[in-house]
Amino acid sequence: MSTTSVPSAPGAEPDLLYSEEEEALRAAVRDLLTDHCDAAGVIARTESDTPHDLTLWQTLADGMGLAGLLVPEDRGGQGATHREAAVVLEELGRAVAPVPYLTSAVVATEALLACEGADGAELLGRMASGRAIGVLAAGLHHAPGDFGTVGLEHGALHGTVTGIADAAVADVFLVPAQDGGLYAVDAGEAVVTPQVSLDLTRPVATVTFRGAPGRRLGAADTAVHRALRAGAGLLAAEQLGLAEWSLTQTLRYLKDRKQFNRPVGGFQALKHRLAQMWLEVVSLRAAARNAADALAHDEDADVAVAVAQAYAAPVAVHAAEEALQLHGGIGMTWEHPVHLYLKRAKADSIAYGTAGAHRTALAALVDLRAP
Amino acid sequence: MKLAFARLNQEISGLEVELRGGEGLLYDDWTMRRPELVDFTGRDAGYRYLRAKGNSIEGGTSEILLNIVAERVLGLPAEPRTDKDAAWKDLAR
Repeated sequence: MSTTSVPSAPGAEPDLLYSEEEEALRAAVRDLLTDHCDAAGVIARTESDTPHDLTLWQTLADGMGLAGLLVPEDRGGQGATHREAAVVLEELGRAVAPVPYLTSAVVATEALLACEGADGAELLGRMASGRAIGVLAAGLHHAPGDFGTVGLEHGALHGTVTGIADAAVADVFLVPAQDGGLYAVDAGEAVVTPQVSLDLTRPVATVTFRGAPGRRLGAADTAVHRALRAGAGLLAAEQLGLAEWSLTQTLRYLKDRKQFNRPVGGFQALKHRLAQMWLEVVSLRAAARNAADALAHDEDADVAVAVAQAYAAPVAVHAAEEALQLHGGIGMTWEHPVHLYLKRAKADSIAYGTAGAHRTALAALVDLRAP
Repeated sequence: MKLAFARLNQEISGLEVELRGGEGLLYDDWTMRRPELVDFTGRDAGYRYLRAKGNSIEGGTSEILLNIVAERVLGLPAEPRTDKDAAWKDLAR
């Protein structure tokens, strides 16, 4: 599918709306997820040893060509921008889809885009076409500018990293090493040990390297910073999807559920809470859209990402918490999907830095100093 | 008491998961079993966070408790009711 869009000129006002192409992309992804990613199926997967849906991933990545959205056409991708990737992530969030899109098609892809050289180019081409899943070997909780390194001896990597999201399905790890380089390590050379995760739809794992051979891709600090910044910025789109689902489902339930001879949504106490949720969700849409647009044009992206992340996590968590409460007893059951959204929203509030970490970053970016 | 407990417990357990950072992404044990008691201190932060969500639903939701406070403690008028003099079979449900 062609998803190429023409970015507006640098210096233009941010465009927070969705283009016709972006809406078409949304419709296509939503149709696919409606047919192939229902909540009961996602819950059943979380109870199995294979929580990821790699069949769905293949359809998204290879069939629809979405893994290469951020990769220029001359490097084997679709040549689209963060705006389109954000639309995909909104839909993946709405479905809590257990696929490594954010980790491979955004974070690892951005790290590789910052690297020159043949090894990186070859890997980027494979990832963009869905033939490989790449995962950055940095804990999911790291904010942009913050990551650890593993040891390097005679070109081989030694060390352990924890909290690596989607490591279980990685084909290649991108590993920051103590010499300041970013190395590609085939997953077969690493030991991946699943950790018991709060969010079973994006499970984390420990990855250990014991003399694993690595291919140097480039400098780690610029690549990892770029990767985590894009990850944090586009995570806001996923959080928007989570919040939107929570609002929509709760709205539907409160219109339908009757108590005291009337729909419970008619009670002001609940009506006002839904109105409040709606206000938060539309504000999050603006913040998330602004971050995607800023990343697409690489203009004030640090500020836009920090603003979006400072705002997104509390909204997504609040929306999921309200959804659970307003569904009453049924919301506490395993069979009702609201718990998937609550766990994802809570894990997302830590992923790529907490709201607090992003507020701190924002204060420095706009030159506000602590007294 | 229960209103305050539910709210505090939810806020504290939510903050704890966030403060733990990378550890907050983990969970102690997802094994399905019939709970014999609410083991709040013997389990990890993730469990406490999720379990606390039930505090504002079980044994009277916080919304119903607030109605009781408003009507019985503060003496505010009740919502208009259309179900009181109707047979159950005639109620919307």
